[in-house]
Amino acid sequence: MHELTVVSNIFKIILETAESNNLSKISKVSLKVGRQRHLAPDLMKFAFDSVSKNTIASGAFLDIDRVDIKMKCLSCGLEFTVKDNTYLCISCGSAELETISGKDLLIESIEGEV
Amino acid sequence: MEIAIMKAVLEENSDRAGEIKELLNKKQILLLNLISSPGSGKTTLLEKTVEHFKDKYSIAVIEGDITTARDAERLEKYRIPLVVINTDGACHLNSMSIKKALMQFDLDYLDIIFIENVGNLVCPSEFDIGENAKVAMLSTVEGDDKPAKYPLLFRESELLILNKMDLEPYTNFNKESFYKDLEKINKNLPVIETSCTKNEGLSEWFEWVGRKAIDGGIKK
Repeated sequence: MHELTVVSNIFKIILETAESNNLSKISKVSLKVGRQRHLAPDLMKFAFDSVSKNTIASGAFLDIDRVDIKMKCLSCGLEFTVKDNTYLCISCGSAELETISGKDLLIESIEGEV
Repeated sequence: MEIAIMKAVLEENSDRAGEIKELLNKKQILLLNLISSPGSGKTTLLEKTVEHFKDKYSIAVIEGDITTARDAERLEKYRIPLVVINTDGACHLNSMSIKKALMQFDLDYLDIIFIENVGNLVCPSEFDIGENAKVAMLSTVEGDDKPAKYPLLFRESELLILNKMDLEPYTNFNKESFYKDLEKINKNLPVIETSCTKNEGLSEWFEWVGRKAIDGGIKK
């Protein structure tokens, strides 16, 4: 359950941001999480509720945007979305691929009140 | 009000991992991160590896375990530098703890450092800990469906060791299905079939480590 590590990091970053912007309450946290990562949104929400208890982020909504796994084929140049864990070009079958997205793990923004 | 952050969640981990890479590159040390489920044979592989290379390379091992130093105790007889990281419940190692562990070694005299990550197919694959390569290990008794179920590790690794081949006849491990899944997930991933306890397939692994050590520009 490395969700706890991930969420603890998120919590640290959003608290720092809230403090430097004089927020008294964080109501929403927007995240981008790539589908290649083994991170369960439900577990992240559960971990966030535990970590944020009795803080200014308590009750904040975690808006998790799951980012598709996209690859660029280095043989024919096609960009495609990986489905069914198949990392082979859907046009030419090559396995020489470059990752465009899918491993993302990013805090986009927070919403709150001063 | 909305405040844009656009910051990588694991930035601190990535930063430390970068520092480790820079340090070990300067010291000409190869760092290999061994990842598998509990009980697939990582410690046995390390025992054989340390024994094999003892006159050729100076090796150190970082043992990651949730609790106990039992794996490290098995390696003590080789009189190599050893550091145990007890994660106290955490299911993976991070680069902050690796950086601290490295400070306990005399890096001027080391060639290769092996990290035995916490036994887990999922979480360790998410974390860059400054290694030159992740090496995945799987044993036949765990089943042939593991790459399909936990694809990230098999995407992130540069080598897969398929261990306990001697036990394969007693399991329902389907080799055809295993290689078919793997071809979809990572066609370029080399696989070495081994039986660590029977010393089978190990010479291929030793060759791989030796090549990696040369490519990595280690001291010798």
